[in-house]
Amino acid sequence: MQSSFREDILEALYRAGSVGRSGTGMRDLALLIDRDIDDLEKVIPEMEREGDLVTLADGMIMLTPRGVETGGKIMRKHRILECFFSEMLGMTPESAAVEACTLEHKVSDEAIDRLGRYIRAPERAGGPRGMRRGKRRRVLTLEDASEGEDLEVSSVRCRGSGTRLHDLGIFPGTVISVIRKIPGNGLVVRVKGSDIALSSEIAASILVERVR
Amino acid sequence: MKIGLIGNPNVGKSLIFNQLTGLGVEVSNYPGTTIDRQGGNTCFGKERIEVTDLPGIYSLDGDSDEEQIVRSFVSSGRADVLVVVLDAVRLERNLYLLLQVAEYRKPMLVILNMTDEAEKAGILVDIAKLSTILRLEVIPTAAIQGKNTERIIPATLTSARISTVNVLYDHHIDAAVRSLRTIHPLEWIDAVQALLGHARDPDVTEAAAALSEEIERMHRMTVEQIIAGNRHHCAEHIARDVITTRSPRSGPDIDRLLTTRMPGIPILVLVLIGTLLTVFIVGSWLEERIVAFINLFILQPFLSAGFPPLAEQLGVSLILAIQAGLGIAFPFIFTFYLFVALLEDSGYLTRAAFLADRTLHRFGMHGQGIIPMVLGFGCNVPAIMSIKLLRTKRERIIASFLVTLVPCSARTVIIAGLVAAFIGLAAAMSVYFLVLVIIIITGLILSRFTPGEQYGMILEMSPLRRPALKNVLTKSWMRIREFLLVAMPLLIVASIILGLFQYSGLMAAFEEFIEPFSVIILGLPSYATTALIFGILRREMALETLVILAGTADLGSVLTMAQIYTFAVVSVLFIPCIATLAVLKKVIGTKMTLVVAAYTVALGIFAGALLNIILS
Repeated sequence: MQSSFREDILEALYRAGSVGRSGTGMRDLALLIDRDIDDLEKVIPEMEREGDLVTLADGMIMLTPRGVETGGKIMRKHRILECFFSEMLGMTPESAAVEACTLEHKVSDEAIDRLGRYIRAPERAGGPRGMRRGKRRRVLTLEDASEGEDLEVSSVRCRGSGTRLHDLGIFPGTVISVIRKIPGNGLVVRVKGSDIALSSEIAASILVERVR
Repeated sequence: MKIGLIGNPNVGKSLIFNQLTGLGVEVSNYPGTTIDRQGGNTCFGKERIEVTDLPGIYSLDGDSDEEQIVRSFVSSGRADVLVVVLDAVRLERNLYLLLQVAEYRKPMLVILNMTDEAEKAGILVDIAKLSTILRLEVIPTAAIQGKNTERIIPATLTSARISTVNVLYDHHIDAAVRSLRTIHPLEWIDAVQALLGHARDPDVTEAAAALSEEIERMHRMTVEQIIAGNRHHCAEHIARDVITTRSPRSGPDIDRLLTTRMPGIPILVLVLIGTLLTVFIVGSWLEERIVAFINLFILQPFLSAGFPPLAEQLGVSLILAIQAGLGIAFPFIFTFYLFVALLEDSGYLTRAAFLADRTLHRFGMHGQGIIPMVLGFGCNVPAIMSIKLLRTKRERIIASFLVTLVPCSARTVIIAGLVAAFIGLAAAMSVYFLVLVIIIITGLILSRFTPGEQYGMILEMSPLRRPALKNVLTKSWMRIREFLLVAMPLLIVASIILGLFQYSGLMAAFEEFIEPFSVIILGLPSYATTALIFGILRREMALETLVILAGTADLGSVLTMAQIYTFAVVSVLFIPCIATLAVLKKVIGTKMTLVVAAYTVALGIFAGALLNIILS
């Protein structure tokens, strides 16, 4: 509780500083973080002793470089969380802000780093741990493959004719190669020694991975 | 003793069947030539052996007609020995089916066919090792050269064994099979079949369904997938153990030329139009000579002999029938059959299917639909049979409509014998063009309104081969023999009856009855319409009847060009012949057959009436 209160103060001062104000009065600060001025008056001297901020002669409060660093970190956590909640999970901006305010104090640095990467590029996130068998692979459909590629079937989503594909050997785990492709028309794959012609829509329902 | 030939499509079962029985079932180089069971007998020593040729399948577990035919054949125990034919080039996939057959625990014999092609592809199969692993006798053959096929029958008598090869199934499947068998008295194979949903007893079905659901929840895969996976795995291991590969003898990559957009599509168009033109030109040339020969050496002498009127009428009918029949059969139908047989045996049809896939999608079919369409140029009957290759009812209905519109060789006879002969080659080609346009429009409309689902194409490409001349000739001869044995007698009888009608005045009465319709709507003399109606028996009979009723083969002297053109178009579009209607009924049912017939009748009359208005 105590620490989250302090973090709120640092965040508020960081925000005020970043919009160009050289210092913030005790009363304004209380308004910014929606707390009683009495509570503030107890904590501020403590934080001053720890070297996060300084009180100037005219009663204005300013962050020290150390305070700027901590405040910036909290601000970033807030932004990333808020973005995740509103942009990716579809929460309203208001509730996203409220949620971010609560979580920013608990979330670890590592989690925030990964979340930040995920937001930038969802499909590449996860790093090495998410990759299968330690190799770099990308799932695509057979229709996206080009002529001459060797591919491993990862799943067959075909309804109805799925069993025919299984019987021909087009089955999760089988390695197939695309020996002919006419875009938009279909392709011929070699599987277990025989050549099978497939329509585009069938190819689109077969998920494959590139074999390197 | 009874044996059955089982194997993947296009592995040469029918070829082996022919060699074993001396019969002639059709052999082609595309999957799915044999659609139904074919039986034949042979003798060895004192033993009479009944051989059954079964349709080619990839699996025993599916729901297609072919799979059900084979499954019921295998499980009924109708055969004493199951002869599994394997393709040495595609051994692994072929073993998948063998493993399924082995589970029925019936005496088996293995034929490893196409060893010649495997050798060319650099694939060597260790026969002894394969035999040890499967614990079955394995006979390597090259049926196309007749190599080793004579060993098959003796081996079925002496060395057929029950295989003990076992697929290692997932332990959940094993457990489910065990628990099913503790409650119900089932054979192992029946329990597996029950899990796959093929049980006969409703109690078993219910219990199996519950178990399957449980397994699916655990694996996030269907039972079919798990079982197929286990079998593939087993087949892969066996194949790896027995196959050694060398680098194949390389040659020019013809396949590449045939299956790329350039020059594949121009080649496809060229092949189709070239076939049509060649048949047309060769056919007309031959026909002219045959007709002239009969005129000069039989008809003229007969007429000048001065028989009494009735005898003369009957005699002329008989000669005209023979003239028309021979003048049509060999020049057109036989030449067409030769070309279609060449296409079938070269393996080109599957390439054509691949290239045409996208285009045929617009007509609510997929690439495989081109096979019936091309066969349809020869004769609609086998073409309609091959519609069974298409898997959904929707595709079959659309294909049925379109195939019945494809001008078969008999209709080519009408176009060549009438339009090309009396108007010109360009006019004859315009009839084809007109039919093509009608096919396209029909296809576009049907694809919009035919209910049902559509799947894409999954088609194994058959290997490219130089067609064996002997097979091409035998196949064409078999088909033309059907014409000579069935059509010619019909033609002669019909011709004589027509002669009698004409003589007795019955024909005049009928023509009077049909005259208003004929003259007003189609602008044709009434005897021409009568001839059209005879086209229902056999399509080319429309022309023959026209010749007989007009009383002269020089139709240009009795009909105007517009009338000739209208007659040709109507008879090409008009109701399919009786034989076609009969197979249609088998493939798509009576109701749809009537719809197809009604459509073609309406189309014929409509086109005729329209041409009558435009041309006159």
